[in-house]
Amino acid sequence: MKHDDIRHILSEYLDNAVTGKEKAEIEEHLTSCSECSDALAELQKTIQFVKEIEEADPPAWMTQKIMARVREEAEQKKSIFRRLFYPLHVKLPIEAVAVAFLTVTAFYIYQTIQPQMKMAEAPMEGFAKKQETPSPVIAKNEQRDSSLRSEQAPQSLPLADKFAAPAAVPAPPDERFMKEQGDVATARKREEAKPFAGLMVRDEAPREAPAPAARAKAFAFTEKKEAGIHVTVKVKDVETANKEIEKAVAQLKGKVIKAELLERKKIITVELSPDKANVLFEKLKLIGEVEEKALTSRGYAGNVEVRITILKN
Amino acid sequence: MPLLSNRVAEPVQKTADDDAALVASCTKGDTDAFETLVQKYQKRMFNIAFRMTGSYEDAGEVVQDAFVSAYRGLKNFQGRSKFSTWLTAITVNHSKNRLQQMKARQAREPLSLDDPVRTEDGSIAVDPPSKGPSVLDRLEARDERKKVQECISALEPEFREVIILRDMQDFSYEEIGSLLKVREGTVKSRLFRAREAVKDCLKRAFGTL
Repeated sequence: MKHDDIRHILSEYLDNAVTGKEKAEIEEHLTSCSECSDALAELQKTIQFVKEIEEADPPAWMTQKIMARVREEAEQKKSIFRRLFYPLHVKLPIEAVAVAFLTVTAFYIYQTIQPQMKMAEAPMEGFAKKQETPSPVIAKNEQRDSSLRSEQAPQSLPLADKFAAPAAVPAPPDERFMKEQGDVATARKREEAKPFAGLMVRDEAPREAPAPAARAKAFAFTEKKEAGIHVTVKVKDVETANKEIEKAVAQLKGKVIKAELLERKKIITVELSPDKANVLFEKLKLIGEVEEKALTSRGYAGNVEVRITILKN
Repeated sequence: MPLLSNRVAEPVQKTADDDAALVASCTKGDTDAFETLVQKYQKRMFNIAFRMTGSYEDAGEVVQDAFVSAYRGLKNFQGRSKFSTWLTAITVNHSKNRLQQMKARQAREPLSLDDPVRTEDGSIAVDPPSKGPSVLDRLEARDERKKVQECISALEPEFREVIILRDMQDFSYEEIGSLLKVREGTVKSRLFRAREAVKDCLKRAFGTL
């Protein structure tokens, strides 16, 4: 090694951080180089001075101050943890109530949405079943549409419509609506013009009775639609069944507003309170074999119109 | 033959960490265990901070910050090094940050004739004229220890820290490299320059060594 190299590793030499070979070279060089010897001596003294610097004592309050801050830090950590999970005796009931509330809310929402979903999937699932869960709100919203549908596909109308029609005033007809109404009226006239055996009008009074405005509205409504609920009852004896049905209608405070006698069947149209319709349906089941044909909205002053076809079995 | 070779060359034995149990208690939230560690190491950390900053007040704040940081970071302490080594690294870092703040503070203040003068080997403090005219002050100015501290304080932080860690705290080159995250060769080089700078400073102060 050269003089400069040795000069630069004198510091390491003092720390005994040189290899054996380096150490031997340095020591050999030191014997002949006074400059390096002096530098080494000064370096040793410098290190000695630095090592002899008296240690300073920290302020007396040091531990207290540090620990105050540390404990504050620890408390903050704990409080965050506690806020999330403790005390359990308070948190658990709150969480349980929250879960129960969510469950009830979810169930309620499901129940509210379910009829809409069923209508979309299968509008006609059963007369009795649907009567138990009528949805006036939906019926009101669907009123106009159901009126239109009744003409095009009477088999597919939801039961809800038949309860809502009397209570709600239909929205002003739009162009399409009016056009369809015209078609319906034409079709109805054609149907009425068909020859049939024995037409017996039992009671036209309810149609005539309402005040002029209501009557006009009812008439317009009648003109728009076919009969309301269509039910077919297959019986052995049409006449006997007819009497029993009339009796049942009378018991339910309903009115027979129309009766048509055909060859092997009799069609009677009755008007009764919507909440009695289900009872009537049950009574019809006792009289004969009941078969639903169509359900449409129709009724007057809160009543629903049921068209019962009595067929000879 | 080197006078200091036997004492300085031996690295501090760090086979096992005596503080492992206390550290484990601290991580479980035992603040009393941490207080034990504070009491054990606060003087050592204070002296490192004091020699690094050259200010008693700043050193006090640095040590507080260092211990609080250590407490916060205990969960990240892997135990790869001794707790004392890890704590020293935190203290050195806080000291360097404080030095930067002090430097910025000085930069905002008007230039003082007492400011260090830049030299090739680092900053060497100007020997300021005694503020007090008393004999006592002049005698203190001659005090060796004070001069040594002034010479150390005049070094740039990267030189200052190696001389403090090596010659005051007896850390090995390897440990210093690990603490400062620099190579061992860099530690040797910096230490050589730091010692040479302090030597020159002391020679100027004392006339001869």
